Amino acid sequence: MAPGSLLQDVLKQQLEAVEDAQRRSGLLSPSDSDDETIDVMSGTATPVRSRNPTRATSPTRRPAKQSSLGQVSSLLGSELSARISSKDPLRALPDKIRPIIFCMLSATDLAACTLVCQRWKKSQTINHAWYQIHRHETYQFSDLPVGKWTKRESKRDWRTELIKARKIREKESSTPLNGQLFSNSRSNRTPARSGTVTPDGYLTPRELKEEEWARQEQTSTTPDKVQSRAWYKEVGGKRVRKTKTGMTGGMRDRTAWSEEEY
Amino acid sequence: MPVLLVTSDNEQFRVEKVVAQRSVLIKNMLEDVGESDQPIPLPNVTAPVLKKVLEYCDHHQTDPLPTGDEPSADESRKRTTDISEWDQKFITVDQEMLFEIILAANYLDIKPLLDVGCKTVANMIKGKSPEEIRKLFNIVNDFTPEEEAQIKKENEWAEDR
Repeated sequence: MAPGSLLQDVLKQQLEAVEDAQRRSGLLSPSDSDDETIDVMSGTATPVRSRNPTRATSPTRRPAKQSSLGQVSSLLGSELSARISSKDPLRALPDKIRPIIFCMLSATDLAACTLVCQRWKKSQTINHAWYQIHRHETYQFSDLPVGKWTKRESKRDWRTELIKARKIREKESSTPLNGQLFSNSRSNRTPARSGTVTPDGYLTPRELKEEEWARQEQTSTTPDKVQSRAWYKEVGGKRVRKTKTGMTGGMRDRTAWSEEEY
Repeated sequence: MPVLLVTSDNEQFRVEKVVAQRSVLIKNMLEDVGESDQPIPLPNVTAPVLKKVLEYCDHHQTDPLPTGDEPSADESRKRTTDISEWDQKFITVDQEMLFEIILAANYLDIKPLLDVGCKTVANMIKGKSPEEIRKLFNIVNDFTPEEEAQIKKENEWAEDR
């Protein structure tokens, strides 16, 4: 009975773990930037499996495998203990696990996390959690698909984006005199977007624009000549950038995507 | 037929197959190898941790195995961080052990246990002030008072409404 495939599986696991550990130990250096990468695209804790029986039963390769197995395990031990010695979950836990934990936190909890230390403030794990909150607020779907986390998303500070978006919504929803700046916010939220999101939740810039144009056509009832003239007179002949009901249609969702043009 | 598991510190654990198979890693290994009395090396797990993990597997040995489509990190936001009474008691360990259990559950691919561990860490953070979180995880505040004031001011907009 040759447990070749078993050994191969174990070896694969170990190599993975070593790679992970090496990466982490590199990150543990004082150079600071801890969790630059997070692994949220792959499923939770799905180890790579080798199910190739032809490779597994090849007897000639067995001794080599066994010797490297020993080396790998000894190396692994020290790396693992180095990782574990930290009490900080952003240091002690691997890429796959950190996002699971921090996505369970509310915005208030994340705000507290931001204030813990510089490293937490810069953490991509926490940034990713902000991103998900931002997404849920921007598109208020109950069955919102998971947001793709790519290099592009990772380059933006989603806490700032969330704050920006909320401030703009606030401005839109409150008139200057009523003084209800905060109490208004929930009821007057931007309604969910009219269009659809692709199954993976990703909107291309073009799709975004098309959405926006379609909505503009629907919502903005273009004022006729007389109305426009009256309005121009009212604002003193000057075109001011003022929030006016009915004129804001196109502004809303664009805020969520910031001024970046793709 | 019992299965023999060997930890990184060379301790052997003889466990029932149904218990060991709570670990998808071990389950797959056993399927690959077939009937065998070959010990299974678990070089990423120490004896005290494996003992704890097996305690969990033993208690949950009759639970249905999780399906392939696990909820992703994002969907977990919607889930509550409730933990069953037995699990809660089980996971009441010191923080080092908690992290070790999470790492072992990840390595051994025991999804429900990983879940319990992650929820526990999330619950530790929930409702705490930054200072309390620092104390909890032994982190030093390296913000200047100005930076701190600035972030606090920004965060008035970021918190739950």
